[in-house]
Amino acid sequence: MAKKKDDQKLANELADLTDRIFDGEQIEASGLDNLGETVQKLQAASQATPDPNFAIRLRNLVVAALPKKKESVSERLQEVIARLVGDEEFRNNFFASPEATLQRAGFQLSPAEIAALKEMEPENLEEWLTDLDERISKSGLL
Amino acid sequence: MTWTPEHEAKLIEAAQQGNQAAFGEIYDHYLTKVYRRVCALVPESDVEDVTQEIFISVARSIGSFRGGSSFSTWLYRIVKRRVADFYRKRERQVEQVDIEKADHTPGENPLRDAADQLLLQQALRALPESQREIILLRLAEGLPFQDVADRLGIKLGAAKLRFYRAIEACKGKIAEFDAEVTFSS
Repeated sequence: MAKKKDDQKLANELADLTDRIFDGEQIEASGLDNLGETVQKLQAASQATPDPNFAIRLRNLVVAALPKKKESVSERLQEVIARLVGDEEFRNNFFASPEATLQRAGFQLSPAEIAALKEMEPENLEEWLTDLDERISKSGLL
Repeated sequence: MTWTPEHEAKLIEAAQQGNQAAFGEIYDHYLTKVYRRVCALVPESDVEDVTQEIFISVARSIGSFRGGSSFSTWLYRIVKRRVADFYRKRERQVEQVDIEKADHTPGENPLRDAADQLLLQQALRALPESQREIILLRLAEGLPFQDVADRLGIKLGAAKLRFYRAIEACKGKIAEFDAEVTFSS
C-alpha cells in the first residue's frame, strides 16, 4: 500500500515534469531516476512537423484516392487485380487468407466480388484473368 | 472552426459519400498527429512513405467506418497495422545492421542521434500496447493528462501512474537494447 502511494507521488511528479517539458522549460537532473530524460528524448523524437511540400503532395494524392460513391465494380476489381499481378507478397498473402488480406490493404469488395477472386488459382492466374470479364458479366456484377 | 465530435461526424459522413473537400479537412486535422506517431515508431527515412500508406488506406476504407469506436481509435488502428506491415516487410537483420552501423560510442558523433532514435523506436515498439499508447497520446499528440485520461476512460491519477510505469518500462527497454548493441559491436 505504501509503495503504491509512493509510486503515485512519483507519477504525479513525473506528470508535472512532463508538463514543464512541454512548456519549453529546461529540465535539470531530477529525483526521478532520470525518467525526465527519457521523457525529453521521447518527446523530442515525436515532435517533428511534416514538410509542407510533402503535406500538400500527400493531400492531393489521398483526396484523389477517396472512392467515388458510385465507383464501378470493375474499377475496384481492376485495382485488386493490378496489385495481385504486381505485388508478389500481396498475392501470396491473398491466396493464404483472401478476406484478411483485402481488409488489411483497405480494399472494400462485395461478397460476390470476393467470391469471384477466390476462384482464382495462383498457377492459373493468366488464364483466370483472360476469362474474368466473361465470368463477371455472367454473374451480373457489371 | 473548432473541431468538435459533431463536426467530425458530419465530415466523415460527407467523405463517405465521396466529398473530397470534407476528406481534405479530416486529413488536415489528423496529418500532424499521425505523422508524429509514425516518427516515434519508424526510422526517419521511412516516415513519409508510411504516413502516405496510412492516409491512402484511410481514404480507401473510410466507407467501412461505422462509428462503433471513435474515428481516432479507428484511424490509429490503421496506423498500428501499417507500422506493423512496415516492420514485417523489413528483414529483422536490416534493422540490427542499421543500429550497429550507427557508431555507438559516446561523444561528438553525428550518427549517435540516429542510433538513439532507433533505440527509442525499438524500445517503444517493445512495450505493451497500453503503455505505448499512453506515451504516444501524451508525447506525440501532446494531449494534456486530463485529456489522456478521458480518451482512455480512466481517472487522472491512474493515467499519471500508467504514464509513469510506461516511461519506467521504456527506460528499461532502452538500457536493455543499448547493452545488446554495445555488447554485439
